This record gives sequence, C-alpha cells and structure tokens, in this order.
Amino acid sequence: MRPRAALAILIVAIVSIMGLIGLVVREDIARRNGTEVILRMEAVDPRDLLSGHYVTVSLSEPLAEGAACPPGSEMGFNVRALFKGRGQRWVALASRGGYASLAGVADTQASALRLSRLTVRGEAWCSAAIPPSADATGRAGVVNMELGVPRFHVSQREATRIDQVLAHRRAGVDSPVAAIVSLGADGKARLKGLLVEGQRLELSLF
Amino acid sequence: MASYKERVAADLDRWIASGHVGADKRGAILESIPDARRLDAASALAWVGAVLLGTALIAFVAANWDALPRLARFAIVLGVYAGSAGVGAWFTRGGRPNVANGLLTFAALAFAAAIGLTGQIFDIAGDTRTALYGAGVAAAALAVAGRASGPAIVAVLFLGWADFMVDGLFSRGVGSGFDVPWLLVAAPAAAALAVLWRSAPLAHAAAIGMVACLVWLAGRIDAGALELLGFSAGLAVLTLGARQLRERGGGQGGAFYGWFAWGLLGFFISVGIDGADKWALAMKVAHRLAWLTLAGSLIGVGRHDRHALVTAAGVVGMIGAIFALLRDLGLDLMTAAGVFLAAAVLALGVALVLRRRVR
Repeated sequence: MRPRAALAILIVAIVSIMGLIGLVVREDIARRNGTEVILRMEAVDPRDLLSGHYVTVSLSEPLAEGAACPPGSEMGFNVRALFKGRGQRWVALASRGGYASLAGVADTQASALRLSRLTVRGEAWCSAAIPPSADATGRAGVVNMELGVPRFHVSQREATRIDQVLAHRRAGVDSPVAAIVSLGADGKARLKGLLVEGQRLELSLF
Repeated sequence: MASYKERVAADLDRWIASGHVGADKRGAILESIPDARRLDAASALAWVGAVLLGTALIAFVAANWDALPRLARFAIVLGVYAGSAGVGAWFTRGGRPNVANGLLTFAALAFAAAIGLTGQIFDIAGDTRTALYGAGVAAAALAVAGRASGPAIVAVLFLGWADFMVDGLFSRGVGSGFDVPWLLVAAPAAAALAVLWRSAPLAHAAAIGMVACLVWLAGRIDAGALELLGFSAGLAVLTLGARQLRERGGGQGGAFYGWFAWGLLGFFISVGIDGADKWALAMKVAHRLAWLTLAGSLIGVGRHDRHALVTAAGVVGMIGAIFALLRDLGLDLMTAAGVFLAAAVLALGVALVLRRRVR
C-alpha cells in the first residue's frame, strides 16, 4: 500500500495534462491575435504535395522578371537553414497585390524592421533568374521561405478536394492555394489555414 | 516446459535414489516451494476479451478519427494518458508494483505520443527536440513519483534522443555554441535510482546513457586522439568501479561493468592514428597492439568473471583489431585468408591444450 506514491502519480499526470492544455490555449490566442498575411505556396505535383491527410506548406514565390533577389537572400540554396535550424534569422515581408512577399532577410529584428514593418523569425533564400543564352534556355528566379509552418493537417475529404484543385491548375497561372499565416508578437509564424480558390479553410478548435 | 517445482521433484528423486537426501525429507522440501501461478481458463478468456475490446475500440476511433471534432480527439489522447497513469496509481496504491510499473511505462509513452498528436490536431508547429525533452521530463516525473523503473528508462531514452538531435553535433565547425546534454544529469541520476531500486533494466539504460553522454561530449568538442584516450581512461576507471560493485553483490553493477567495457573499448578504437611519417606509423603500430591486448584482456576478464557482455566486447574488439591490422598492412585476400587460418589454428591448438589439462 503506497497511497502517497499514488497521489504523486496523479499530481504528475494532472500537471502534464494542464501543461498540454495550456500550450493549446496559448497557441490559439497567439494565432488569433497575430497579424494575418497571405503567402503564396508552391504548386508542385499534387502527388508530392499531399502525403497522408496533410498539405505540405512550401512557401515559394516567383521572382518578377528583371528583379534582383531581396537583400539577405541572395545566397541561393541556404546551407545555414539546414544546419542552424529554424528561427535563426528574421524575415521581412511586404504586402504586394494581396499577398505578402519577401522584402529581405536580416540577422536581427531591428535590421529586418528597416526593410519592412512585418517581421517574423525564419529563413529565406533566392535563386536569381538566369537569362536564356545560345547554349541554355534560362531559368526564372524564385524565392523560398521557411517560417516554421511545414504542414497543414486536414481531413481526408478536404485533402482530396485540394488535390483536385491543384490537379486542375493551368500552367502560368498563380497557384490557387495560398497559406494564411499569423505573425505573432513573439516573432513566430503560426499557420491559420489555407486559401483554396478564394475559399478560406481555417483551423478551429472544434 | 516443467515448472521449477517439477524440476526440483525430479532432482530430489535422483538424490534420494543415490542416497544424498533422505526420502522422508522429500515432502517437506517440495512443500517449501510455492506453486507457480497459473492462469485459469476464465482469467485467460477475460484477458483475451479485454485485448479484443481494446483492439475494437482503437479500430473504431481510427475509422472515425477524421469525423471527430478536434477537441474530442484531444480528449481521447489525454484520456489514454490520464487513464493509464490513473490505473497505474491505483495499482501502486494496491501494492502491485509490477503491474503499476508496466502501466506507468505505457503512460510515459502515451504522453510522448500525446505531445506529437496535440501538435498534429491543432497544427502547432514546434521544435521536435523540445517535444522530446518535454516527454522525457514527464516520464522522469512519473518514475520518481511512482518509484517505477519503466518510466525512468523511457526518460533516459527520450532525453538522450533529444540530446542527439542538436544541430551539427558531429560536423566540424557547425553548431549553435556549446550546450550541455541533459544526459549529463539524467544518466547518473538514473544510475543512482537503478542501484537504489535494485533495477537491472534501469541499470542497463543508465549505463548506455552515460556512455552515450560521453559520445555526445566527444562530438561536441570535436575530440582529438588525446581527448578520446582520456574518455577511454575515464571509462576504464568506471569499469573497475562497476566490477567492484558487482563483486560486492550489487546486482546492478554487472550492467554498468558490461556497457562501460564496451565504451572504453569503443573510445580507444576511435582514437585511431593518422599520418604517414615515422612517428605516426610507430604510434599506429602501438595503438593496434594495445587494441589487441585490450580486446584479449576483456575476453580473459569476461570469461573469468563469467560476464557475457564483457566477453562479447572483447571478441568484437578482437575481430575489429584483426581487420584493422589487415587493412593497415594492405594485405590481399589470399594473404588475409592465410592470416585468419593461422589465427584459427592457434586458437584451436590453445583450446585443445587447455582441455587436456582440465582432464
């Protein structure tokens, strides 16, 4: 008979459960109170995009023709992002045509704020456009962002619908799927949902 | 398979027949041995029914997982954890430590799953390392609260896993500054609890955790030959201490003895020697000879102490040393076959001589 040990176990269980509930509530409040931005998602082959019942959120946008890479993102494929993990730098975002686009990347928030008032922890890298030459066809420029929102879990029905939407997209047209992201005061990006053909697919507690 | 009592009865009959034990003692001796607990048909069916019911419940929830509201899913996840911890507490109170240990181990694993599933249910993107630390701390708290070795093993596993997820641990010049592995505290604490609670499984986990902690530190400081030799020497001291503990009757000492022996050999092997100048070549020869001697000593001590883990470390070390030597010498396959044949003949010859002496 060890009643004190039993009581201690129950206390540990209750504290652990309260911790998880607290995490969910805190994240929900932060998600609702953050600044909302819409970010373009890469419209890759749906067979790769959908795996299980979640949508891979690959934040990517084309670089306008003749435009230079945003400051701080010029290094191409970023090795730092692989080794240093997420949230090491600050990404500045600027609103353009209904979407938030990369304005630049900096090591500190103060430096990122000089580029734009919308800042978030993350990483971004850019591949500048390569003009066509006699030997090669050339390549369009592209900007990729890593903001710590890798996937959006959805039901099988919703996943199938998004799959079909992406399957019917036409070449040269903007991806019909975009990510709705909340930029928190703590510098963390939180996924609110997806914008699928203009329809919001949002996360709710219920 | 015959039970212990049946085997003793058979032995007693032989001893009585040969006159070692009086026939009048047979009944008293057998009565002193308790009957093995047997599961009756009703209990067995009850267990089967409970397992099938659990399976049906899991299948039902899985089939309707998408249709369930997020909060309902969250409640199920938390309910599994709370239920297993609660029943574990009930068995702890009732003085059933083994059942309680099993349930608390399950609870510790269920909480780790709950962290992951909560992130999935509410799309909370978090750091995997932090989640593993959280699961490890919760498991450690359950272990201490219930004096249970199972959750303590789970804690060592999760904390070690999280430690090794640090960025660029074995990549020279990459990393986010010096940080300390949680195993540095968790593994010795688990070792102390293993001795206190007389738990052999926890002793194994703690010993592996301590060696893993040194591997982590070696990776973080980008240890050179001298540092690796230092780690090996430190583990040699710990091995001797564990051997003493085992000889004094500390059953858990055996686990530490075995894994520390593996650790000291591993660190010594990893010292290696690079370079092509005369000094480096001489050092390389000395290292390989010491490696062979160390492996042979471990085989000898392991056999003397009747410790399979130490003997196994020696055998593996010996095989590794032979391969390393062949590689160093740059021998072709035919020469290698000859060397192995000579070694085999030598080993068989020594075994034959020893067997004749015993006779």
